[in-house]
Amino acid sequence: MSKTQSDSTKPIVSLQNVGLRYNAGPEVLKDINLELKAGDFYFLTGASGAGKTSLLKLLHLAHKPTRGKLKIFGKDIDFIKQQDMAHIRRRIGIVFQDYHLLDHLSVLDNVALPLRIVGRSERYIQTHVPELLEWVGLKKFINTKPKLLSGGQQQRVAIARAVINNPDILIADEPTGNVDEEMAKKLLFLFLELNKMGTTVIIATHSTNLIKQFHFPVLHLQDGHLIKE
Amino acid sequence: MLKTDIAFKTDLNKGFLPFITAFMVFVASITYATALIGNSLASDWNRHMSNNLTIQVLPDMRAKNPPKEIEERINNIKKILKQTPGIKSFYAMSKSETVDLLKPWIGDKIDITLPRIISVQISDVIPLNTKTLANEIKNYSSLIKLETYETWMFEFKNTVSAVQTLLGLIIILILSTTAITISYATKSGLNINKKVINIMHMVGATNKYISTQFSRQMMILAITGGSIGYIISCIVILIIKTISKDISDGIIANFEFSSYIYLQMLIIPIIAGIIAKVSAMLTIKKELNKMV
Repeated sequence: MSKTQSDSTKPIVSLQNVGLRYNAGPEVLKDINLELKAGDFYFLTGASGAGKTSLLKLLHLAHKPTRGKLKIFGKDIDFIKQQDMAHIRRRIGIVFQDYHLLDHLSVLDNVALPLRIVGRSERYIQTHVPELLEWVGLKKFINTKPKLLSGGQQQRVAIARAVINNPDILIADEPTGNVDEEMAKKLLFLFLELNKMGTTVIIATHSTNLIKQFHFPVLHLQDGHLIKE
Repeated sequence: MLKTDIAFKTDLNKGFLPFITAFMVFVASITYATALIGNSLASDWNRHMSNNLTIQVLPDMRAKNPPKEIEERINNIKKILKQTPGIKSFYAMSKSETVDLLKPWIGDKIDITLPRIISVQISDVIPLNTKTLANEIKNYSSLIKLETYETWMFEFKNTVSAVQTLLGLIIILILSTTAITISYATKSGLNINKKVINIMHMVGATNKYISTQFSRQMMILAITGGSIGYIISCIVILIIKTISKDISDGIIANFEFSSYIYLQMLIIPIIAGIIAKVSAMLTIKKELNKMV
């Protein structure tokens, strides 16, 4: 797995005075200013409803800001075409809070989805996907449908799908919420390995244990405002 | 290769789309086969008719001895025919053959002089000038008529051509209906797969990738249905062919056609598959642009 070397001094994600509201509702994110560089690792914390998921949605281009500027990989998302949007998303691994797995596909096919989209060969898929699934302890469930797995197992499938393509940015919304402490640590070490190779990691979590254990900077959201700790 | 990397949920279309395509292809194939059979029938008749002429010799009732007089004229016509280039052979029906032919209608006690027929077969190699022959016969006797079937064949060809155009329009109508049906099935398929499509977008799939995968899946379903419709239509035609053989010598004795017709009919499920792919592709592109 090799990653394109990028200038570590230049931000790969930049938010300037960003605000977000859904339809005519109140602003859920207010005046967000943030720069993420290649190889950064952040925890994102905040009470429920503080706007963590909304911020992560902005970062993986599920929404556009209602005000301010958002640049990803140097591109202003206000001027990105659908085609380019897809190519940017390929460089971002995302672990959704509710997993977002495809129920009619097997565990292998779910994890292989990003690889198939970028046109990887079946040979590559059949080698690398089982390898990663073994790492996350799901090798024996390779042909199982996600619905038959526990919440924690589904979460690991979602993590495997997010990291399989060696993304430049990894965004995870409560990735350890449904796994035991030992598995949580193991998954964090997986994120660390990716981070060492240059992946920028942002993990939204409520777990103070994890934050204490891994000494990475924390971004705190309070009433839609971002505070760096 | 007819393979999709990503299988979409097909709960709704799994049964519906193949069924509707099977039905459409069946109707279109039967219609197409009818047009082909009509065409082959018309060609056969045309070939047969254009190689034959009939000369009708009418009796001259004002003659002193009509039976003798008609025989004389027949002999003279035979001489003319022998000297005319482009005539392969001819056969003049004898008096007794003519009586036999008309016996069912007028009985065998006939004391009038009957008109006589000379059947002429035209050469395939040397061209015959029918106009010159007709003039020569007309100059010889006004009571002799040359029948070339040209007018009849012209009208027959026109009728066949009109029927074929109508059948062609029916096929276009059926295929258009198929396209519209597939478009609606695609829309409902997209609604069912909204979550799947959303996830695919999130992991970096382009609209082109999604539409290619989806339309390919729709094409596979349409080809499956189309093949079933094609097989059923072949069976139906085979049954009709068998039945028509059983009652041959009867009204539809000419219902004979080459087995090549089954190959020609294959075009219908292929067109249905292409229509399914294009129709699905266009619908998906339009709908996906609304989603993102």
